[in-house]
Amino acid sequence: MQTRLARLSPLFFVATTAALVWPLYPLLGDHVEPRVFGLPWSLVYILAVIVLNTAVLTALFATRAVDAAEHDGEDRRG
Amino acid sequence: MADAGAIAPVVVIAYLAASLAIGLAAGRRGSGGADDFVTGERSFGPVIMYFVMGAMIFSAYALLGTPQRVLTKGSDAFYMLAYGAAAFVPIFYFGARVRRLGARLGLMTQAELIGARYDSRRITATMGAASVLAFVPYLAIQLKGAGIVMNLALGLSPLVGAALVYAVVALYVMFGGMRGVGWTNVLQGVAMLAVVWWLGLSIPGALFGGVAPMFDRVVAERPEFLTLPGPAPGTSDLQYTAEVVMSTLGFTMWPQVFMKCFTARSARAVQYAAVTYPTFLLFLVPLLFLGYAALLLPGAPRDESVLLWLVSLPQIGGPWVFAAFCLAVLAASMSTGDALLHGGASIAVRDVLVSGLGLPLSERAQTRLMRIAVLVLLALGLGMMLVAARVSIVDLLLLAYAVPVQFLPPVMLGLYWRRANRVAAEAGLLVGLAGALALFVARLAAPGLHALLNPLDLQVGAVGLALNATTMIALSLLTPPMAKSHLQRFDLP
Repeated sequence: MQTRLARLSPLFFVATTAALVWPLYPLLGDHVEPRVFGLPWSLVYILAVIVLNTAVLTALFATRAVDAAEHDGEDRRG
Repeated sequence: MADAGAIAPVVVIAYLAASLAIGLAAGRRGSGGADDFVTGERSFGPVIMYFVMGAMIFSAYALLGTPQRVLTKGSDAFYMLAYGAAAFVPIFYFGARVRRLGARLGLMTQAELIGARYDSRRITATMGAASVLAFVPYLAIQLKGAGIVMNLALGLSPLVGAALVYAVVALYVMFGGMRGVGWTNVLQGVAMLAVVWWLGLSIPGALFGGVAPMFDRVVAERPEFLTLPGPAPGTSDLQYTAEVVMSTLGFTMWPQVFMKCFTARSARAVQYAAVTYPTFLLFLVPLLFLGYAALLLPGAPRDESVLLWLVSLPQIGGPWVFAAFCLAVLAASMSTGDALLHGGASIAVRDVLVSGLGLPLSERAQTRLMRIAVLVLLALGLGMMLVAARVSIVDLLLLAYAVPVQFLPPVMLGLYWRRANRVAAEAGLLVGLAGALALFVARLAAPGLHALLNPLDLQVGAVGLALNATTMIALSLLTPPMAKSHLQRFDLP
């Protein structure tokens, strides 16, 4: 299960990157309204994708889903 | 700015002295061999990795150019945030394996790893030489940023000022090696983050009563600056998309970024740097705020001096704000410039001289040559800064940015596809680099021919990448893969 998830996980980042460019960004993101904390939506949308990417990356890191085996006598404190 | 005279020079000189002291002290801990100079003997834990990766990427160009981009192109300036969103993700996936292969096979640079994977010294030498050439205009931009600050803070000519700042950088790179670069990046990263967030939040507060009221005014007065295409002539959706996609793809292929995988103490430390990198990325947000603040004020200059103009305004200026600004620009310039000098020198000696030309050099001799190469690169950068009036650095940067993305097919296919072989990688790299260069020359010298060859006016790097990947995939399928025993050394089944 973990390896399958790990193998498919790059697709998530392909999808979020697609959300930041044509045609999805003009459609979903590139507007002034709604404004969040006064910031225009065009900026908030990009920040939201960054937060989402970071959350997923953190989850993959914490669960050691991707290539987390340490060999060759590597330091384990890292 | 008259009262700035007293504080800024003291802050700048104290900061340069601290950088030098930290860099040299860090360098005393190592063995002094080539592995120590290039990778710091693979000793960096998560905290230093975080600052090494983050501070290296944010250059004087990002700091001075982001607010300027808001003023001239509006929300097109968000593209750096957009490509940053996923730009570091590839390192999360391949970084652990690269770190492990590097430690197992004794590799120190990107071109060494890729040359070893394809058993080709030609690849190592070609990638190394192309990287070093791409570094020079990038370095010249950092020198220019440092020159601007030294001109304002100390009244030196930009060339002398840049030379003074980079004499400090060259010393800690030459005698501190990778450890010197790493430890000074901690200082520079903290300085950059603290100053930019402080200025980015306090200046809109002082001028408009906060960030939200400032955007209220932008929405009312200049709404075209908040969405694409932005002010005329505007950025089309396709141009913006091409910028974001190409930057995302090429980002981790910059040799000085890639080779930092080898400096980590463990595979987890590399992944940790990728996970935490967005906290550095968000430092672009206050820079965008500063751009919008300048947009609302009458008389803002449209070039890279805009940030400086903003911090010197009487209603917000003050000697401490000005000094802090100088500190942030120097930190941004030096943390990128030191990686370029260190990476460029390492690559010139390891990839071009030792692997490429096969010179039999001892570890000590390599380190000595790398120190000399630091000075040679710095001289080239200063030389380019000097002739920048006649040759546009921005034009050369376009070519420089086309280089690293050509490494994407040999790196990614080499790491993950067992069929990728020597002849395919050599041919693909050659076609990609030559194609990008030919288009670049045609664009400047024969615009008619360029329009014929590149009717959509795509970035030269994108055309090179398409040729490169097609060639490499086709040839890999048509020719036999490399020996099984060879592939196993690279964790390929």
